[in-house]
Amino acid sequence: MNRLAVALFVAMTTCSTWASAQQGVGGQPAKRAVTKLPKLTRFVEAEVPGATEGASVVLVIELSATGKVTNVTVVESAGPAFDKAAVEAAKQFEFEPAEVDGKPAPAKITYRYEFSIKVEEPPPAVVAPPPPVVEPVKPLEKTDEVQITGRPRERKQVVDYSVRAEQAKKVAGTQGDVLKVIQNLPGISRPPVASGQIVVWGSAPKETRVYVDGVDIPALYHGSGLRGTVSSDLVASIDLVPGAYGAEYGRGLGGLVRVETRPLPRGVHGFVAADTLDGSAMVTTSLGERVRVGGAFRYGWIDEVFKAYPTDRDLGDTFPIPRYRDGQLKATFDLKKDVQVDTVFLWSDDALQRTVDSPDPAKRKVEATRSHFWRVYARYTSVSERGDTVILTPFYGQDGSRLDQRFGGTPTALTSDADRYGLRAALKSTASKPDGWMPGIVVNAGLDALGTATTSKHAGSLTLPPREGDITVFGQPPGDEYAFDAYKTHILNLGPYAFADVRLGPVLITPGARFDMYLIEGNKQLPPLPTVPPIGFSRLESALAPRASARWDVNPRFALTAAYGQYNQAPEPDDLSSVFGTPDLALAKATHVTVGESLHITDSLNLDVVAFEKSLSDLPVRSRLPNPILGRLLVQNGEARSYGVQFLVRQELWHGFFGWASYAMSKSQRRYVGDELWRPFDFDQPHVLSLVGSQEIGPWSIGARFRYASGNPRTPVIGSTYDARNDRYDPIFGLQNAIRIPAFWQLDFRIDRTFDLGRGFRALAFVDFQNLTNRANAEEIVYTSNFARRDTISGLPFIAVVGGRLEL
Amino acid sequence: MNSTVRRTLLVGLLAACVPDLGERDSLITETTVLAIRGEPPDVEPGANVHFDVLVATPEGPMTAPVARWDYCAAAKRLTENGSVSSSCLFDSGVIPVAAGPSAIDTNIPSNACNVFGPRTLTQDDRPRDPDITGGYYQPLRVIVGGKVGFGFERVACGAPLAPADVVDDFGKRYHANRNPTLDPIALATATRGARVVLRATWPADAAESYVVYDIANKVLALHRESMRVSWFATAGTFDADRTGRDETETELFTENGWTAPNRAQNVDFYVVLRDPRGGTAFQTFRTKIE
Repeated sequence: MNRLAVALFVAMTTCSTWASAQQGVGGQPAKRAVTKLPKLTRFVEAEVPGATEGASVVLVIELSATGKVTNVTVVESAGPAFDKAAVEAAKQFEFEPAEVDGKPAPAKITYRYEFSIKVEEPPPAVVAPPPPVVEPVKPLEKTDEVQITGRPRERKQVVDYSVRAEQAKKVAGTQGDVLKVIQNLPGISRPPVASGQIVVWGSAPKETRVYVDGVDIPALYHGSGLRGTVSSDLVASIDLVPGAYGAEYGRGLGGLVRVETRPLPRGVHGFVAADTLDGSAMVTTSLGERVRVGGAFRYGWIDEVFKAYPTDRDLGDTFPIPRYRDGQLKATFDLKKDVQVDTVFLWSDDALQRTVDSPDPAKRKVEATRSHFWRVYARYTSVSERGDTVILTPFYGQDGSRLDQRFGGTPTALTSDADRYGLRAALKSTASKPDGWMPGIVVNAGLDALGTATTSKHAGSLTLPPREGDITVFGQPPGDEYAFDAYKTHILNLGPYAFADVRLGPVLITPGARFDMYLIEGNKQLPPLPTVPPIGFSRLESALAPRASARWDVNPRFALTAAYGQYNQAPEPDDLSSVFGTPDLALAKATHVTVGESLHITDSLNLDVVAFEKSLSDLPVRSRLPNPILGRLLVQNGEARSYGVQFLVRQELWHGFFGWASYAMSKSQRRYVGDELWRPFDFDQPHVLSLVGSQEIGPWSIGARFRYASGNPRTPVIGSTYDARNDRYDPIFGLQNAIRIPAFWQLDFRIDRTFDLGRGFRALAFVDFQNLTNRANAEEIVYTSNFARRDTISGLPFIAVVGGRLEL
Repeated sequence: MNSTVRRTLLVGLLAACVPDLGERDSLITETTVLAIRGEPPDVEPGANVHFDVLVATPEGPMTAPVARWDYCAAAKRLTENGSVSSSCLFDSGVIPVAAGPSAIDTNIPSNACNVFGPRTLTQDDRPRDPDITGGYYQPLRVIVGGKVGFGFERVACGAPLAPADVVDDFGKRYHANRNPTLDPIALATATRGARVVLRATWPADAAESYVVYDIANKVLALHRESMRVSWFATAGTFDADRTGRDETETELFTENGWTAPNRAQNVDFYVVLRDPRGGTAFQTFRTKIE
């Protein structure tokens, strides 16, 4: 039986068409008038030897201004064999070029390449197996225009750095983890080793929000920072929006990280993989024509490696690595043409239990931590023929964290369990198309709602957990005071929003606003008294958050951008404790302003420059009073400012190479209202440079990454006093954050090879060399016990993470 | 694959990252305040207390240190990690007590529970929280030879903020802390480079039981004092700087290995025993290395 895979030409969706419609890092969509869509003039059939069933591969095809195919990438896989065949065929396509404003222009289209099976009569056989169920050959459907159908992507923000999963996996130093790639994008500070903190443009980690398909999740990375919490194979792309984003998002003073899950391919696919850090597997399959399901699971075992190879003074004692696990399930229901429902379940779990023994009872450390979350959501997407879009995403989930720690004399126990529920609803409709002097207007409106009901218990020192702005030194025991609180809070945010994309010739203006209403409730307004029952609180807070952005396409290759926005954030549930915090906390506020430019040096080489300024106010900080009034341990006397400029030069995939260079120069400062001096923000890194490159050579792929980052500020210790009761020295501090950890730089290298095993199987082996020069980068400043001398703790030495995977 | 390569591939992540700063707390290389003891260690505000100080030098114990004694006048911020307010580092932030004597008898300030304890001026003020043993402490600054140390006298500030029955029960069952005692330790001679095991022992009543109000469960909980011994010497090397027993360990001793220096000399030892409620005992002895 000879099976010939025949491609069905069904171009299905697209991003935009124009020179500046790159989807890559730093890409910012131009929305000038498209006067002609690209037209396929030469179609090439692809053949997949041995294929026994149909398949569908979604490609992004980039076209030059002459209609030549310049690049093809797979955005929806059907397995290695189909992917390869589809890409090879698409590279031979020929098009009449697209036109923008009547002139030929580069274009990028999304294209579904469908394979079905052409059956020839099987040769006579003595014992013939039952013939496979196959589809008849379908004629090639010639389409003269690109249809705007399929699932819409998240709207690009004015400052928006996006990386597709296919590229992110190849970045050296990420061990193939797509989510870790954002650590190399401009605007983000380098996190400390074994930390998954995301610090963007001078905002503390809790001020940046992480969304998966528009659904808020509490952590992008597992507690170790070694892995993302979502399987890379379920990720289509990841965006970092460092600030000045539009009205559809809120509740945070910092940036956004948006993860978009990948559409499930048709047919049966999957992989098993293992490397030094963990093992993982994923399987997807079609259930009939309209349903596709898939699931992924990952289990971290690096902690077992710790145990197998104990060292006298290992990193795990200083930066403990929890055991992590995560899993995802996804089901896609194609209800009808252009109507789809994705149901997704996300789950992540980190756990750590350890005992550090010591002959000194005060130095015995017992620690048990666990943090986990899960989400389930259904995303309904409907796209009308005229392009109007409705997306509804109701979701529910739980977050939980536990910390039981005994270090020094004061034990600490923190428990938090939160139910999170919400709805994201978005409507996009074209009100008018550009016509002469009439502007084109696309109206967007929606509701972003999130409720968080938290039950918390907190026992221990008032200084745990630490806060930004705490003056402390690494390893210093917490304060001796011991307190306890058990409390409940409920924060409900309703954020209706609206904005419009108004196109006036080469200028796109996007005015918008969001009105955030918060219901903040708790069961304890004041610390409980023995004879008085606790009194709860409930109040409403609201804030109008205007947002606006503008883009002027000066010419097809050069654009200027600007954006402005006001943002607000409700207090964290932990801050609403009547014993450890302040139940009366109101909203913290921020203002973001950016201006920038986007230059397309070539069709695939871009330069983006963005200058930003952020100011934050009403930030909760610790009270400076030795005896504050009841329920006022935190006060909203914190303010912050951050400003800088960042550059990104990015080469999109070109002759097998992609890469980028990013550099951010910034200053982030904070102070207590009324203080004369601003101090450096705890995570301030004035200079951050990343160089990333990857080259494919046949089945081989090699990549390198170089990173440089200023060290975080620290408060110097200028003396010490002896505490005779606890037999320890207490530091005497100098000016807050007046010194820095030495600068960090590191070179990483990655090499992988793909093996085509036939029958749809493919194997991948990789080695990811981290810190190739074995540089002893300082991660923290430490002192002798009497603070007479100081030194640094160095981070990861040279590591080779070895791994492999088998794919179908 | 040889083991070196394997370790590089698999556990480079775990390699040594913490610097060895090379200084041991147990080695006396300069004048050092080692202990400040109040007798009794647990009193009512206004009560008289005898304070003395143990000061070590590389040449041996300072027998009559010239010390300056001051009470801290202000509490630290609730959210500071340190033990005392930074204002207590300056003369403007202390109440002078004495200058010169190596030991003093003085009265604890009568407002100690207002400043450092749970008593507040108004009902709107937040009472300070106790330590894990339920105690509040009046800090005492001692300066000897430019070295600043702080002693902490536990002050009885009344019953915890608890239901009436718990308060009654607490009043009946709580006993003020007493300083522990150390049985004599002696090591007359030691051989150069030899390792000897030193044992610190204390009587059975040194590790006292005490009740503390468990604020999480709103009941009185009975605890037993942990005992912690700090070891110091002017030469040689201890296995550990501190050893001890936590409250679940009922042994009445703790041991520590010490390796004598490689030359003949006299070595002065300092052994300080502490309980978690501010009780202190100390002892010194000299050993001849042959």
